[in-house]
Amino acid sequence: MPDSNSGSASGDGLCQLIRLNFSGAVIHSSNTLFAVPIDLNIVATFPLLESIFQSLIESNTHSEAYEYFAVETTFPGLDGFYDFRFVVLEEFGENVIDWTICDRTTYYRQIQADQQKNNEAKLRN
Amino acid sequence: MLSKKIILTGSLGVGKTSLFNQFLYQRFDEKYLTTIGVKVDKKTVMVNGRELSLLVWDIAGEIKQDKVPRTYFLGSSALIYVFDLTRPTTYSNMLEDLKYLKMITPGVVIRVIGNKIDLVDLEKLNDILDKVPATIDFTTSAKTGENVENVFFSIGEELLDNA
Ligand SMILES: Nc1nc2c(ncn2[C@@H]2O[C@H](COP(=O)(O)OP(=O)(O)O)[C@@H](O)[C@H]2O)c(=O)[nH]1
Ligand SMILES: [Mg+2]
Repeated sequence: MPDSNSGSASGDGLCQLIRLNFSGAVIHSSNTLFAVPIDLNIVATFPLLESIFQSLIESNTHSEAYEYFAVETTFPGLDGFYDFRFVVLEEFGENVIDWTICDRTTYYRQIQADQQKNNEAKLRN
Repeated sequence: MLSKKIILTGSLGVGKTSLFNQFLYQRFDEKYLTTIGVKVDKKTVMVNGRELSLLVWDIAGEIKQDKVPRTYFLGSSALIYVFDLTRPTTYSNMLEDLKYLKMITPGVVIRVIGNKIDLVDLEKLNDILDKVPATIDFTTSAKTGENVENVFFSIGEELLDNA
């Protein structure tokens, strides 16, 4: 398991880059938000990643980036809101997936508070 | 183990998050909390003696389905289109929504769910069902749990049949 203790809302605004190979193993991680050991397969640890992993592999390298905003994870320690971005590319002859995770907790909590008021008003009508 | 992605979609406040919480955690909250992005979790179910891992996506509600980002549908095997039996605005756009969803996710299993059945009595239900423009697969209550597992189970069955 990746080390969840190092992840917290104190990483707000920071981004972490994790590079995976097509088997789902970590080739590189900046460990900015949480620590992940090299070679560990983390696909099953993140259900969002698990759901799209096969599609990412089947997509063309250098295709568009796949982006997911305001992701709530079930991973202990990553308990805020995160933007996920996946890019599939070929590096030194190997196909890899670059996954960027940005902690945007403060920003999205504000958005959520605003939308909460709006939506409550809509639901009353 | 075989795993399949399922998305809960439909208008604001219909009970997507509540169905997600009921199915994944057997939990219900009367208090509404706006979903702003996406949450994904998984649950293993036994379908006809086989284990199947369901990866369930709870996404922010959009009034019209063509406002939902396309990347959300990547890799999905099934869609649950939820509406609120007590609010006609949540099913008035249903035909257009379903047509759109079928177009962008060809071959995907779709279930149409009328939620909050605990709030309607039988007589009223028939009135409502007459007005709903498409065939409903299940009426559910995220509050009492009625039919919630059945929705996912029926999807699991169809996915395994197709597998
Ligand atoms: N009585 C009743 N209330 C429900 C049911 N499902 C959801 N709700 C309530 O409806 C509101 C909106 O639910 P939510 O799950 O957030 O809807 P979403 O916007 O589609 O995710 C909340 O206040 C829930 O408690 C249900 O089956 N029965
Ligand atoms: Mg919701």
